[in-house]
Amino acid sequence: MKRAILHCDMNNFYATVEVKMNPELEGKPVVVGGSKRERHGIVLAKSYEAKKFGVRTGETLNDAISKCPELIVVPPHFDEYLLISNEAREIYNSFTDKVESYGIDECWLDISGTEGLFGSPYEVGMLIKEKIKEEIGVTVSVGVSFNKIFAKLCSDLAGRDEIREVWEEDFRKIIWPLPVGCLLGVGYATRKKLAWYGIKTIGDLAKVGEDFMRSKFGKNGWYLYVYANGYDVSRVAGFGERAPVKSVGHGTTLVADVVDEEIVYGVMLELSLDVGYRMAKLGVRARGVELTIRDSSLAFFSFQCRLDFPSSCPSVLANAGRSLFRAKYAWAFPVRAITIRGIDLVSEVVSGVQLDLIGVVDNMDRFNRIGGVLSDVRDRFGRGSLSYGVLLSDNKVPEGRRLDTVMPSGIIR
Amino acid sequence: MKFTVNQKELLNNLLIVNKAISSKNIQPLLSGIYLETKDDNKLIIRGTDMELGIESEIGALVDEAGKIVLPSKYFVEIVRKLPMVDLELSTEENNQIKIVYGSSEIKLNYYEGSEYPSIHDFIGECVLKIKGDDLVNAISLSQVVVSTDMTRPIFTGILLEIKNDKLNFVSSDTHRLCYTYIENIEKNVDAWESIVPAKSLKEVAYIIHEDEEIEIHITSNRILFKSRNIKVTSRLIEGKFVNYEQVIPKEFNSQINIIKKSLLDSLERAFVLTRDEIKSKLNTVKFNIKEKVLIISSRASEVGDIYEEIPIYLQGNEIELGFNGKYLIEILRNIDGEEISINLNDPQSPGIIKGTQGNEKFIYLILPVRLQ
Repeated sequence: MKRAILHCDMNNFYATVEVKMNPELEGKPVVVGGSKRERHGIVLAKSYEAKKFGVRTGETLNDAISKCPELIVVPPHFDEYLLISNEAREIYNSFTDKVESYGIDECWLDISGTEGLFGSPYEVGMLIKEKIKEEIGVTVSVGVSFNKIFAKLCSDLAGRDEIREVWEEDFRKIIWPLPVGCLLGVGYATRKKLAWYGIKTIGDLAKVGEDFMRSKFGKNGWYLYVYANGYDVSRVAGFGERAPVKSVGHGTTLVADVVDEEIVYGVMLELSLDVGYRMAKLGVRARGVELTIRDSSLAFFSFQCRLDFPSSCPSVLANAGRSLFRAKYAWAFPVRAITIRGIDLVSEVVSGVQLDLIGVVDNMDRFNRIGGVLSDVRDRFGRGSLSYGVLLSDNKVPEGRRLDTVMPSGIIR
Repeated sequence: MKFTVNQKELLNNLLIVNKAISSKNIQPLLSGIYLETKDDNKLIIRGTDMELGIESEIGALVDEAGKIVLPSKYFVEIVRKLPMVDLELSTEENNQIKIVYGSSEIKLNYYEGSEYPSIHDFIGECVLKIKGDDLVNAISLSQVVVSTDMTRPIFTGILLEIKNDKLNFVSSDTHRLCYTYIENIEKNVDAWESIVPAKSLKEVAYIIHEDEEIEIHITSNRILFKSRNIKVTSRLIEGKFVNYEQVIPKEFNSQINIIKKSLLDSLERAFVLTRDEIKSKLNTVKFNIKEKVLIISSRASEVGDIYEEIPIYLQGNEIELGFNGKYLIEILRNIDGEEISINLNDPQSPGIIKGTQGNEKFIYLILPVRLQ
């Protein structure tokens, strides 16, 4: 059976949803950005009208406004985006059970073998595109191909509300002349390194050979070689399938730069409450903690340590974070943003526990009981219903911070 | 400095001393090997990384006394490759030493030896004398249950304690503990406690001669082991060891006697099934102790199961509990004697493994795996 993969990318997703929610914004330059007062001051998404002014995703709101003084900045509404994203998924699911999300606004669909039901892959793509436009009011770009990589590439090539396809017989003609940066998995650094070897197009990469790519770029180089030649056969994850979670983390930019370790600790604890809760929901515990600090000069620092015992208890995570912070952070500048992450996850279901002489297991039992209670109470009475006393004071975490959604990470396999 | 020495004897002793030298040490003197000749026809060879220090003394025909430091990386390799003849070494004016073998010669640059740290000999506040084989035996028993986790340094060491006319050796990796002792020691104090890095003691056990008497000198921060021609010194680990007497139970609800080999063989078979449990590292083996039989069972969900029965002699109650099979194997492999006794109280309390008749100079404590 011939493989047929679709990649659907909802155009300007955040901005489109905002306009849907508030029709007055229709036709105006709109960007979705963090609130300026609380300093999440970057452009998360932009409307077509804003794009015309040269506003770019990721630049600061101040820069964007200087390009387009009448720019309308709206704060993000992640819950709404998630809702719309789920509606779109419903539609995808009515065509195939193999739908794999790649971030909130992108999906792969494996529609192999549906010709008899819905027509050719191109026709299915058209159907889905029209259905989403009609029922949800969001335009999509659709890519159709015989593997996930080229499907994604086609949807990138397709304009707003367009559909592009490429097949085994013509991908060399269509895809190979494209710059190598178009290929999924080729980022800024890889592109530079490839260019240094004279590899500028996807075709160059395809022809340079397996051994070369493996020796110069390692395992990822080999994947790129596979992708460029259209050999990728990775599956579209089926309904309900999910990639195993490798770490659980939360971060935030503080309302003001902080020079006090106690406040930093408060923020870590606040973040850890969400991290611990999510780990409890996933049924996992962390064996290590990673702390990432961004200081007011925007320099990044990332530190890791191991925990004495696997845990999802917020205070254990935060205390490890504090020890790391004390031992490693040099206080060259005030702290601007903090991320705390549980890493090296293990299942909370274990067959046994090795007892010890120094009270590690006693501590583990105690803290994990606390973690369990925190998560149970939160399930029954909601977020914030039970917390730590030290968090009662002002702790510089932005108000109304939402749970992050899981964003795509790295390269697909 | 000028002396003549046999290649083989020099090489053997260089290799011993070299164990204390890190060729990557950023201090050139410490990455070198120290040579000193005295008028009494002795060549002294020293090496140290400041943590461990080793000194070896060999006979040499000394024409001129002196001290120098040679880069160990080159000197040891060259001596290794020289023919087995007498070597004549002599310093020259341009900070080079000339090594003459037959009609050939090699010249190596050297450093002045006067700056070399003098840590290899001292008089201790605590001085004791024990037999070499007792020391080696105590070290090899204790060595099994030390930790390598540097976040809790005291557990990377072995406690040497003088108490009640005995020299006690205690070590623990927090899941197990070993206690053993040496009697009939000559000593100048009645009580003493030091924690010695297990790594250093391992070298001591390897280097010293078992048939000699060893003199031990201890200060507040270093320990020195002296035999006739070898001295090993080590830094001590700061801190207070756990109160081991408190954690070793004195009374038991269940005591079994078992043939060591039967148990060890059985555990090794069980370990084959569970050894790939990389993350949990539990290697859980279930012990079901009945009136006349120990039932050993283990399950690795992705590999298979094992069930074995071993005859035992039980005094006290029947009991069921779990252990880390690997921990037990390491202990059993290290015990001499045919029969051992295992003493237990309940599934969450430490178990004690001892030898029987005439082999009772040690105990191993092991904490169970709590089965969920």
